[in-house]
Amino acid sequence: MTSPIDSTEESNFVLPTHLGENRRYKIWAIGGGKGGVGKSLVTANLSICLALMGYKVIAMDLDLGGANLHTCLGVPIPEKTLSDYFSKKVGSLKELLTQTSIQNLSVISGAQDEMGMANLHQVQKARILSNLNELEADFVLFDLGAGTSLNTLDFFISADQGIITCLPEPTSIENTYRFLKSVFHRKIHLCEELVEIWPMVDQAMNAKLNDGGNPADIVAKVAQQNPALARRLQFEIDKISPRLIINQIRTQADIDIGHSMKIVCRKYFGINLDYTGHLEYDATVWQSVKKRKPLLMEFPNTILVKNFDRIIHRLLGINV
Amino acid sequence: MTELTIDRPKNYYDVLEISTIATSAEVHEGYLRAKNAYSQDSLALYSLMGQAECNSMISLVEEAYSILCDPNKRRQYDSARGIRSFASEQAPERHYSDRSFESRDSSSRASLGLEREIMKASQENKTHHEAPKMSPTSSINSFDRTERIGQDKLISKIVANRRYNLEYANDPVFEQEIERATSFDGALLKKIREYKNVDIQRLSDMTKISKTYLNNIENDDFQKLPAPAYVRGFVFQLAKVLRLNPEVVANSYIYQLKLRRDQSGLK
Repeated sequence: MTSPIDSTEESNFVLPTHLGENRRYKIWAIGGGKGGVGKSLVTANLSICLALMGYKVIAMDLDLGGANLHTCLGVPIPEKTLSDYFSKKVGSLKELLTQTSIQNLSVISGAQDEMGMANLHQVQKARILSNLNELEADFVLFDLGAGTSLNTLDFFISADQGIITCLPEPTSIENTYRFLKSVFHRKIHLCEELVEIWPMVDQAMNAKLNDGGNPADIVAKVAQQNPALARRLQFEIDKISPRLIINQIRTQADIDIGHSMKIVCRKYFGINLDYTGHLEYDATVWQSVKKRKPLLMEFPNTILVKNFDRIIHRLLGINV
Repeated sequence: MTELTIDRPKNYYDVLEISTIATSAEVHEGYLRAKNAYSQDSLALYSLMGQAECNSMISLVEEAYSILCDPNKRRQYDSARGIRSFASEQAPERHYSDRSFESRDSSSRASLGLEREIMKASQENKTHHEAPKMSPTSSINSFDRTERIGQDKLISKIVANRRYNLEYANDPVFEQEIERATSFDGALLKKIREYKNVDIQRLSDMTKISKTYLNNIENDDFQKLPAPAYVRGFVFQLAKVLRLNPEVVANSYIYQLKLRRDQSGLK
């Protein structure tokens, strides 16, 4: 681990949101509050879709405490992982690449069995983000861990496109909102120009249910006093435009939950949550994970292939 | 400054999250979605919003729908708010110009009237748009507007007549069978619809119910249908446009739906 960093430096450090003007790859980050909602499954299969479409794709496991993206992609536990990169045993991200059985698709595995790795310093996060250029990819997909640790939030925010997976059940929905709250909070706290309204944001975030006072109201409140600041705030909020994928749907009502969540998010957060698509519940998922083979390759005839096809087209903005 | 408060719905279209050129089917869909989102048992609200807030949203949604679902009220609202909404004028024209089952002469006459109407309306809309602040819309051409609303009624009557007109060969045996039927399931409804020469698309236009739901109703696919209260409304509407006794049909269908849902342990 690197030398300890004092707390002021920690909070003032701002991740580079634009990683150089001439970068040619896009970053998608797949997150969501709860464990077991299909983040790794979605990351693996979206990577496969992109690779099959001819893009050069790198799937990166940033679930540092519990990496298993390689398993979803049917790759044995890689020899070199991000731990080696942080401990400087390996000098370049390139050396971490493990080719999968699919052309154009490589995987970088998360830390393995090295305790303490789950908590990264800003410097290490920034080091990964600024060195992605080495990889020569068209798409880099981040598979994020569960929970709302700063690691997860910062990687989610620094991506070009944040994608949230959620199950149609109360526990998952609750954690999805908690995740969105944390993203909202972190996003505004990463923007120094908004320092004046940090207390106001904290207050709105900590308000209990039924207290009224939505994060969405903050903009209106700020606008009354300082229109310029409100515009800036709106700009930052607009940048949080995550995509939503509902996994394991069984009924029409499950599908409708996505539409409802979109409406509720706009009302509560003022965030535009795009309902990108759903994945139907399918027992073959378990089979493919047990066999440690990628789902789309092992079961090309499931309904899930169609689901992923629709999602990937929507993510790429291609009309079908 | 007003443009900053995106969370505050600016108008009824925002409330239902639809575009100002939404068709009546889209208005209905937006309404169902919004209502679904804020309804008491909505999972999507879980841990986020309180009951009081939801209730006030629901009443706003109802208010928005009560205006936007009525073409006349919608037009009045649009022009009062200076909203450019071609849909309320154009939708009937667009829907019916490509219908093959209509007799040509009556439709051409009606569409001429509509066309004149659209031109007039769009001109009026344009003037609102160019100078929305200078002329508070009402006072200047209020006479013109009342005349227009009178004409609107006539037009919408013609449109309604053509929209709900059924043309089919009478089969006395089947007519009697319908007359005597007491139990209406999806299959029978489908048979009646096909007998009355209405395809799913047209039925969807007539009832403003999405094709998916209509198909689910006809296939007795109860699992994919919403709460019984909605389904009842759908079946009632469907029976009405097919000139059946809506009360009887809806009751019979809902009875079967509840029976089946109880059996399979679904809510």
